[in-house]
Amino acid sequence: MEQNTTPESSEGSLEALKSQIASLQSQLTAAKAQLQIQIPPSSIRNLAPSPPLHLWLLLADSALPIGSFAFSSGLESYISHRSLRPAVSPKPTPRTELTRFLRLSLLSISTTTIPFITAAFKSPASVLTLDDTFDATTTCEVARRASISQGRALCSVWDKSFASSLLKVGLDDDDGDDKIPIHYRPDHFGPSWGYITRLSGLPDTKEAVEQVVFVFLFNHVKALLSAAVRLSLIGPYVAQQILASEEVGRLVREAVERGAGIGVEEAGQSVPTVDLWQGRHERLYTRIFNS
Amino acid sequence: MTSITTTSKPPQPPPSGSSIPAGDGLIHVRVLPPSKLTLHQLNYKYPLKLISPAPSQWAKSLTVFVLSYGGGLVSGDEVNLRVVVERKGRLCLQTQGSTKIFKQKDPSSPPTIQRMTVRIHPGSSFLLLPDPVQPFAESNYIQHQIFELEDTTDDTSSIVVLDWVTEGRTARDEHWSLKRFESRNEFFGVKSNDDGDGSENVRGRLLLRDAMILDGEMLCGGETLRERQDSQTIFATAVIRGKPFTKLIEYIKTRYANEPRIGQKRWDTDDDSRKHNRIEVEARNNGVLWAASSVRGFLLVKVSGVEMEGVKRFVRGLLSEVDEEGVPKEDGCIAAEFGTGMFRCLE
Repeated sequence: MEQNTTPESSEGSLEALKSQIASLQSQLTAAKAQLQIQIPPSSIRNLAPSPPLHLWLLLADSALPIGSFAFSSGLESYISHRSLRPAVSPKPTPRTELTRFLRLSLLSISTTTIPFITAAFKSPASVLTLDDTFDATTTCEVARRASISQGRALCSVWDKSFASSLLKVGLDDDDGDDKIPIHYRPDHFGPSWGYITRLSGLPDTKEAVEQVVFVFLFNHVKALLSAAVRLSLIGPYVAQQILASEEVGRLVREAVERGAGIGVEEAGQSVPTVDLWQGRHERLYTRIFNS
Repeated sequence: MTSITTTSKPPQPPPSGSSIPAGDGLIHVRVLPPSKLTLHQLNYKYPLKLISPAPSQWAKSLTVFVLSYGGGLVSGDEVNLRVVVERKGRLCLQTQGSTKIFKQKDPSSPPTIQRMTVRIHPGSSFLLLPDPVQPFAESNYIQHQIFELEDTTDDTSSIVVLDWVTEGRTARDEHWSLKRFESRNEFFGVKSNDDGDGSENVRGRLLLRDAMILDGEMLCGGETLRERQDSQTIFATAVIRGKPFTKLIEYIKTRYANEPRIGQKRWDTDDDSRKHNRIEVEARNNGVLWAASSVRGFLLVKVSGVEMEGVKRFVRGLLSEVDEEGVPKEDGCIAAEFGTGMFRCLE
């Protein structure tokens, strides 16, 4: 501090200040010491996210190396077919075309994939049968490739990165009946998503299933928006605006709800044009994406 | 049957079908030595009707027409057809006019249901080429078709299946105004049983499931079913598998591979004077969109379009393996396997 420059006449007040500083310093030291003691170990742990949040932050990370950025789920083909689709007036803007596709895509996924995510989560022991049934049900070649590529990648990430810290089942509850097998590796994205989130120790409750499906669909929306930015349909700010919008939140929640009511045997394509656009992706002259 | 009546159905039960439940039917094709195709059994009960024209001496296959009284099905009608095609059998199922699905009487009345289970023995072929299903406004329809293939190792249980649906009665301004439409085609690989009378045994592995569910009551972001269908008025799915159809499958794959690229510019000509080839012009004029997928041993073709005739012509062209000029191949797979006159529903 600047006490050194104080004139001679204020010798007394200088001494007073010095003692004040000393006392304040001791208070500070005491307070610091108290601070270290007073934080109990439990509240240090509370600074880290609770287990589900931690899981969701990992799985919703756009850096999750499952290659979702390589797929547009038919958006690229849908946009390229613009000229082949019947004209509508007023002419849709790129943004309205995107949001329309987003709605149709969510509707389609809710009746085709969500039943399998839910089933794999609820009965992880039969995930391989579910995976085979999903494989038989996904008749669009392009969609199959996209699903298998991301599903296998998710299983790899699980094995190589997550399992060592996230695996929460089959360790201490080894008592027979409801033992969850941990070594299955389904091929398709939906079944592996349901299976791996279950291995992460989420309870088999309605809320947990909804979260599992919600994050899957929200990731799907993010992937579509990211594809839309790279297709120059919208800019990055608008992409975030759409992602943050109440409409997207509502659409995802509606899709979660719709999918929850559909069994694996009742699953099917509810937007037949999506299969056509996606199937015809291979016929695009130029393409950025794999689906 | 001329299927002009659209409002009432004649009340009389059919002469045949003694003690079987309403709507049930059985078609059993057997080959007697040396190689005589016979209908071992043909039973049906109202509202289902089966007609089998006597085959000519040289016929390669048997044809059975699947009909309903009055040319349509009302709510509560339930059809259960069981088909068995024994070794070396060749059966073609057709209809005479579209299957009209009338509106559901009231919300509590049951949906209209059509079920069919087809057992295809090794070395036999089955062809399903019906007219499209035409669901009227406020109709509620469930169709479930199961195909049990006994030989999936050498692929000698062979099938060509067409399933298609139109938007309704356009003359009455019906455009996908149905309440609900559900169509499921499932293909199972099953073990053959030697008794040969098609008795039930454990259903094997699900090989392929093609399911379409149209919900007319649901809005998606304010969009009705009609809007969601993107002006497409007809959707068709064809599924093909089996040794006798190897060339047909190759033909369709090649056509799809040669399909003009979307968004292609011809750099050798001016952009403004871009030329289109015949297929592209036809596809554009008729609004036909299609895609072919090879999935788990099957070839699956999806076609949609904005008008019936264009789609019919296109599907007929694919299945009869037409050349560049649109002339059907004389010894095309379907003609070679089943004989001529199989494309009546696509005329």
